[in-house]
This record gives sequence, structure tokens and C-alpha cells, in this order.
Amino acid sequence: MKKVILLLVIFVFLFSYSIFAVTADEIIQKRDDNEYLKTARVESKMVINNNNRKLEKVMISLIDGNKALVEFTNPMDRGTKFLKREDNLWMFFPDAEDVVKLSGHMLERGMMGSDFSYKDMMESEKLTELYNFEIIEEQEYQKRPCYVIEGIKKQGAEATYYKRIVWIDKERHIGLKEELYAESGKLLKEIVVQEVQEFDHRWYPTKSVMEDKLRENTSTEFIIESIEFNPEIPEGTFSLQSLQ
Amino acid sequence: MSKKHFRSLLILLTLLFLISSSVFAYQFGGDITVGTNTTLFDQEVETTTYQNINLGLELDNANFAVTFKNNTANQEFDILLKKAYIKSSFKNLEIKLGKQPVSWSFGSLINLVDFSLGAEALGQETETKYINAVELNYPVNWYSSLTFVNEFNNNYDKYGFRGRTLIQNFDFSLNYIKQSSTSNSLSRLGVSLKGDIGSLGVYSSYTNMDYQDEIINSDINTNALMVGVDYSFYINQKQGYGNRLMVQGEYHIVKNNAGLPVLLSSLGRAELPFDSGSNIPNGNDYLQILLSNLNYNINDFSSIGVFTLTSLKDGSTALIPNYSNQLNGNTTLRISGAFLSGSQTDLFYSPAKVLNIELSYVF
Repeated sequence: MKKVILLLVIFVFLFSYSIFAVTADEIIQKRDDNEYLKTARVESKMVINNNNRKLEKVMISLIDGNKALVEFTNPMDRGTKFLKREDNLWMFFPDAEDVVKLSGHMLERGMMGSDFSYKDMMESEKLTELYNFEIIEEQEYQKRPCYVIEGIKKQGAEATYYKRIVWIDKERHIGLKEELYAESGKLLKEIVVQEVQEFDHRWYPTKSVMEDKLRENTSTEFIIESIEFNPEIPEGTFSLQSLQ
Repeated sequence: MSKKHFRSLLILLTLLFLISSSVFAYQFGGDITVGTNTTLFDQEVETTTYQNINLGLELDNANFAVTFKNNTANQEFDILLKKAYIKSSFKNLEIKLGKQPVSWSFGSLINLVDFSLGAEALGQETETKYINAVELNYPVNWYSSLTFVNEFNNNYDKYGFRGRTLIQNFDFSLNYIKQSSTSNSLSRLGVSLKGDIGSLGVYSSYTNMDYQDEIINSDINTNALMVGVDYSFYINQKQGYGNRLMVQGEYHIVKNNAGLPVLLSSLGRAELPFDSGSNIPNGNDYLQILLSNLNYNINDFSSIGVFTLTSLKDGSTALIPNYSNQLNGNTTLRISGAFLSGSQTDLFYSPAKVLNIELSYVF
């Protein structure tokens, strides 16, 4: 009997060890493999909900590492473009045909009135480069087994948020929920992924909802209508010239 | 080249362009605006209504925009051609020919080194910026370019150069503009820059102006300096949420002589109900102006704000409050006003008060 108990203890120990043998960084890396866009062309829309009112923004984005070019196509913003290169953001006003560099503080404002800030939309670094991650628990979320992983900003890293807690689907390695915190511990934003799709063995969120906790009764749905991974992007696309 | 010859050339090039292009990618859209403008002057109220339709068509290598304007006060119907230009590239050189918007904005409330003074002022664009011109643009790299613009106008000759680059993450421009007619000429040479110091947006411009008038045989050379800051932050966070307040301030110093008319032209007088500064005699005194813009986002759909212009010498102030609300669909309500506090000898003086209400629908 003692031998059986001993074997059981060893088995449980080994089983639990094998679970946590996967490190947080490996899980985040697998998530990055799915969600990090090296180059992409994305057609998407944002639906901004404020109390009972809705506002819809439609856009086409080209992404190449830390560079992004976004053009809005909905009637109210038609022709408005953004160029992001590292932390510099430039905006093209279509009526005036002007290109103006936006001030840095604008990067933290809601993009075109949404709950996504310009930084949220354009953050392009891999998360493992910005945060130290650790698994804090395992949990079922949206009926999926998930790792709950906490990331604390690395010293000197230029991350938008001090802390992030992310629920990552164990099997599909995709973030299903994410909470973003200030250094004070205040919850700033929450993103919930509502739909995911598999593209060539790669899972990607196609519908998510962001709530800016600093604003009352608002949320923004971000819906990807089409995505092309690793397209050929012509040289000179991410230039002030191409904004005009 | 005269304006007549320019038009003929433009029509010819447009036809050639249209014939040679077989397939177009295009975007078409516009807006319809109805509004009322009320002026209160010596206890008399005058109200006019107006309707504007803007239509725009953008093709791969051409752009067209026109405004149909109807004003009930003078029963006038007017058509303003805003854009009718073609663009083409030869190796790295890009060419735009035709009626086109030209402004060299960098984010300031007024811009003394713009190609067209008053093309954009207090966050609004004016009709001044739409000119018949040829623009040659040579991009040096992703952030640097050299631009030459020649305007075609029967009343004067005008051209300008602009070099734009990025230095230490500051947007830097070097501009030169010369406008001359048979009796006078004004040239402006200036630099502008815009960037960040910490979380504060900062910008500045320095302009040298040379005004020559052959009739009164005068040659005035003067300088103007501007420094500005902008910042935004959350307020009203007591209950765990907040709204953004955007603050922008600009300080200008110019001499009254040639600097005053340039500064006033930069204000885009359409925003104000009077000829500001018409009572100010020319002289060598320094004129100091403080401009500010406060804008508060009430929610995702509406905002309220106020522009102020203050003459530091006489204390006179112009207030331009504004409110906008995006109603259901693509309809926006805008309300704005203009009120001036100064007396007759002050820079910002007018007994008139203006209130403007308009609804616009974008399609």
C-alpha cells in the first residue's frame, strides 16, 4: 500500500512538474508566433459603442514590423491616413492634403475616438521583448483551458502599460482576454477576444472588444474582415510621400 | 505663364491623361451642409442661411473637388473649384498640376511660413489654400523632401521652396516664399520645427520678411518669432473614468510695420467678423499675440472648445467658442461664435458678434 501511495505521489509530482515545465516566455512566444504580425495587410473595422450610440470606422492597414500605414475608408474619415514609424506618428488630412506630425501625448489618446489608443493599435514589439512573464494560474475561460500569465514591464522597456495579465488558450496559443494595468495597480483597459480563426495553421483573433476603464459606458469592437500575412509591400510605402 | 495659358495646358494634359488611362481606382464622396449665420451689430440682428454641397472624386492620378454654395442673403449661387489636378511621377520627381490645396502646415494655430497666408488658421482651412499651381516634389528619403510650388495668378507672381526633414525626431522645415506684383513684393524666409520634450508637444517658427513697395519707395525688413506648446490629459476622473482635455498655446512676436499685415493674413479673417487691426497704425513697435485652443471631449461624439486671441499690448481678446456633435449616422451639428472685447483703438475690436449653426451630412 505504501508503495502505491509513493508511486501516486511521484506521479502527481511528475505530472504537475510537466505542466509547469512550459515556461511563461515559451507560451508568450507561441502566442507571438500566432499574433505578432511581421508583415500584413489587414482590412478591419472599429465599432465604437457609447451608451446607446454607435460609430463605425473602416480601415485598411499595412504593417511591417514597427512600421504601419493606416487609411480610413468610411465616409466621415475617408482618406485620413496615419503613418507610424517607431514612436513617431504622422497624420494626413485629406481635404487639406496636409501631413502633420502628431505630438507624443496624442499617442495615448483614443484612436479616432475609440477605446484603442494609437499606441494600442500600433504597438509592434514582441511582448517578450517588453515584459517579464510568469504563469500565475490555470483557469478555464470561454470554456477553454487557459494559462493566466502576468507580465511586468522590463526595466527600461518602452511599453505602454506597466502590467498585463493575459488568458492564453492552452491549445491554440492565442490570447482570449487581457487586462492592462498602470504602475499604481489601476486597471486601465480590458480586451476580450470574441472570435478567432485559423489561417494556415495559425490562429488569429478576428473579433475583439476593448474597454477603456477610464471612460464610462464605452467599448470598441475591433473586427478583422480580411487579413493577408506576409504580403509583398512595395519599397517606399512607409514614407511621408506615400501619405499624400 | 498667364492664367489663361495655364488653363489651356491643364485641360490638354487632363484630356491626355484621361484618354491614356484605361482603368481607374476611384473614391467618390462629399457632404451637404445647411447653416445659419447670425450677426448682432448695434442691437440689429441679421440672419442669413446658406447651403453648401461639396463633391469630391479621387482617381489614382487625379483629384477633383468642387463646392456649390448658395447664400440666401445675397441670393447668390457660387461654384468654387477646389481641386482639379493631375499628378504624375518621373523617376523620383512627383508633379502635381492644376487647382490644388497648398499649405505647409506643421500643427500651429497660425503659420507665418505657410505658402499661402491664412490657408489654415485656428484648426480650419480657408479658400485661400486652393490655388492654380504646379508642384514639384522630390523625396530624398522616407522623411525628407524638397518641394517647389509656382502659383499661376493674373494679379501677381508667386513661388516657394520647402525643404522638410526630421532632426532628432523634430519635424523641421525651411521655407522660402516670394510674391510680387507690379508695385510691391513680399518675400518670407523661415524655419519651423515640431516635436516633443517629454510628454509636452512643442513647436516654433522664425520668419524673416522683406516687404518692398515701389509706390511709396519703402523697403522694410523684419522678423517674427513664434513658440507653441500642446498637451492633453484626463480630467473628471473621480469616478474612475475621465475625459480628455487638449490644451494648445502659442506666443507670437512681430513688428507692427510689415509683420502686422502678415500676421493678420495668417489669421484667416473669415473666422472673425471684422478687419482686425485696421485701426492700428504701422510702426516699429513690437506686437505680441497670445493664441490658445482648449478642446474638451465630452464623449466619443461631441466636443466643446474655445479659441482665444489676445493682444498683450492692449489686452483686447477675441473669443471663438465652438461645439460639435456627431448625431446619428454621418450627420454633424456644429455651433461656433466670435466675440471681441477690445475698444476701437485696440487690435481685436468689433461691435459685431457672430453666431453660426450648421448641420452637415457626409456621404
